Amino acid sequence: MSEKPILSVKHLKTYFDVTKGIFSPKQIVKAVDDVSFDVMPNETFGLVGESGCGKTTLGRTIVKLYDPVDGSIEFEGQDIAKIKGAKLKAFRKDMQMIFQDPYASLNPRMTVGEIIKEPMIIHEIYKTEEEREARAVELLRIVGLKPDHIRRYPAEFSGGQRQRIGIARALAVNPKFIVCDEPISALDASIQAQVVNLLENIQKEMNLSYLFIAHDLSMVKHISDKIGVMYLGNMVEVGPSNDVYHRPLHPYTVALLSAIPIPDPDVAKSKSRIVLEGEIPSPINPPSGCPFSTRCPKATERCRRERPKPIQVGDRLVACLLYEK
Amino acid sequence: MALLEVENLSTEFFTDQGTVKAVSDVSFSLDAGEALGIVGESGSGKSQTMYTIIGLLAGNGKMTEGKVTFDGQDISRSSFATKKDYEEAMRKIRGNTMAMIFQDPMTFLNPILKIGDQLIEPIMNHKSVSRAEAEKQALHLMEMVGIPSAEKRINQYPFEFSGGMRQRIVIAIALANNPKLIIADEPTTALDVTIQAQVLELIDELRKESNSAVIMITHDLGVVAKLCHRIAIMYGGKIVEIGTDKEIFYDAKHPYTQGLLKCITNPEEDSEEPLTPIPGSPPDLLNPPAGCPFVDRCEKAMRVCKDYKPEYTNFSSTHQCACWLNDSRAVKK
Ligand SMILES: Nc1ncnc2c1ncn2[C@@H]1O[C@H](COP(=O)(O)OP(=O)(O)O)[C@@H](O)[C@H]1O
Ligand SMILES: Nc1ncnc2c1ncn2[C@@H]1O[C@H](COP(=O)(O)OP(=O)(O)O)[C@@H](O)[C@H]1O
Ligand code: SF4
Ligand SMILES: [Mg+2]
Ligand SMILES: [Mg+2]
Repeated sequence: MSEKPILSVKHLKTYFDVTKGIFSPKQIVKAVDDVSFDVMPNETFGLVGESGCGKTTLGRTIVKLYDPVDGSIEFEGQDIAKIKGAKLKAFRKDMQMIFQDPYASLNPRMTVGEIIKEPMIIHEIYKTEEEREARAVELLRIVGLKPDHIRRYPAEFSGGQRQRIGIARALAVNPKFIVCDEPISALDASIQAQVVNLLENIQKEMNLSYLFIAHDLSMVKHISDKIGVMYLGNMVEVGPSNDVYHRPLHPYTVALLSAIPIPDPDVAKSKSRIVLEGEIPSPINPPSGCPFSTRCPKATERCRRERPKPIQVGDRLVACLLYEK
Repeated sequence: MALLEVENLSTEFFTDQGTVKAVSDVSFSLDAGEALGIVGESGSGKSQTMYTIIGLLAGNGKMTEGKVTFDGQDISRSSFATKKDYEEAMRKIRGNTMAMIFQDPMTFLNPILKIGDQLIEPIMNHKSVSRAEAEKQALHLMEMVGIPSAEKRINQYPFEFSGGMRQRIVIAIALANNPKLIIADEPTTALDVTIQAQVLELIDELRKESNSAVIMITHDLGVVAKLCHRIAIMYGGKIVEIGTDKEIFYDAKHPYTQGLLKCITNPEEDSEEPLTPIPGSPPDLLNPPAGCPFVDRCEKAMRVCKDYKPEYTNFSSTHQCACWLNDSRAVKK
């Protein structure tokens, strides 16, 4: 492919210092530890992995809510990892975020109209209130709400409707890229499908690229072109979603996929699962060598010593020593 | 005879805004060793159906109609002379023959009591054994549910356990009494898929080993496909369809069940087709529709659906569905 990625993340590291007192030993959470991946224009990149593996931290680092300690984030060819001031403001207009909790992420004291217009005011997109109002009404229509919802407050809406309000707010500044952090996890199946279809439709109409974070692997596979699998702050496998699902390469991906409950009784009842021993290690003291080596059914001595680098296998990236020649 | 027989159960809540018809005319039965799934979106009445059965309704709630028979005994509120008698009897049953596993293990665990004490006490109470013997059984149960280094962990507090481990403790406590019925209300909703799979397998093994019956409440169709022999679909406080796993997944009759199956994706299939969502949102149980609860969202709705409640049609001895489409009296549009 000759097309250039819209987002290119290289060796990104985001750490949190959680040291208790000044005299205690340093405690650093390596929430994102040397992660690299690309997202192409108009593409959806799905990010999966179990809770605590660093998905939210990665998403928030990319939208610049957190500062990375190392690595680069190229957006449309420009490294935004360290930008400030006017450049940062311009970037924020292009890159928006949708959150999991449609209750906590909307200010309860603002009307729906005020919520949607706020980013337009911050980014000075329209000159007059009339223009903003007209755009807000149009956005409500786009996300499937009614024009007269504009004067109401978030509390008057259901979870699915609030998520639509969050989407309208993200769209208000005509972004190019949206980080969606578990936008459907709190919703019922019939409402999840409504929101997923909405996200897919506006992606086509507005040429958007998504980083779509979720723990529901079935939905991620449906919505994503590519999938990245995270484990303990590391990206262990990246590839086209159908390929990754049907032919997982990394031992962790294999185990994770084998645990998905399939909504088909004949398949679900005959499917066998790869049992992982032990629990996920702490990101404060990650294992030396491969992060998965303490639980991997295929681990060798070398895995406990050497940290695998991502290797290209076909159109797949896999960080596992089994694939290193 | 069935282990659990629920007949025409209705439950209402009395609030400042009016009466919430949380559960309307729900009937089902369950045999020993059987796993029944109850599926429906939030607010459809799944939990309140169970709370009514086990006698844990909130103060403003009341079972207004129906009968519940468990293990040969009528355990409906109306079969007891006083509220005190009823509560006393239900407390005994809940500690012995009926076990419950909730979504949040902390609704069940005492945060300031060591895990060991929370396990040992019910064993001593219900089996009248010595503390030493109860401790031995507690360790055995912890190992059974897959808690490593049980001897060390028995002296720890709930906060020292991860979510998945806490849920295993709740299961271990539930099992301390060899229950005949295990009611699990979204036990894995807060857990990651790999932990979810472990917890589900645990519940399934216990069912097989002790021939207990299981009621698994969930909104995840994958979970019921994996675990359950029969499935009840709830909508707006009613069971709109009930059948075997295959009847529900491969031969659904109710438009809501059919719609729900089209909202989800099966990752085994690589469909690029958009999902088919069900438009609209669930009914307000303060003012439920007079007829079918699904009428406002159903694309096949007819005039009769709005004003008259559909009756159950039998498609097999195990498969029933309440929808006017299957009723020859309805004038099709
Ligand atoms: N602000 C923070 N301060 C300290 N630790 C954090 C912070 N945010 C996240 N973490 C830790 O970083 C790790 C990754 O968390 P997160 O990115 O939220 O994972 P996920 O979204 O995959 O569940 C976890 O161990 C979490 O406890
Ligand atoms: N104490 C209560 N007072 C009033 N309404 C209640 C109360 N508890 C539950 N309800 C209502 O009963 C209905 C069914 O709830 P529930 O059985 O908890 O649904 P779910 O299917 O999500 O488990 C909901 O509309 C809920 O708001
Ligand atoms: S590198 Fe070794 S331990 Fe890590 S996933 Fe591959 S085989 Fe397993
Ligand atoms: Mg997260
Ligand atoms: Mg519930």
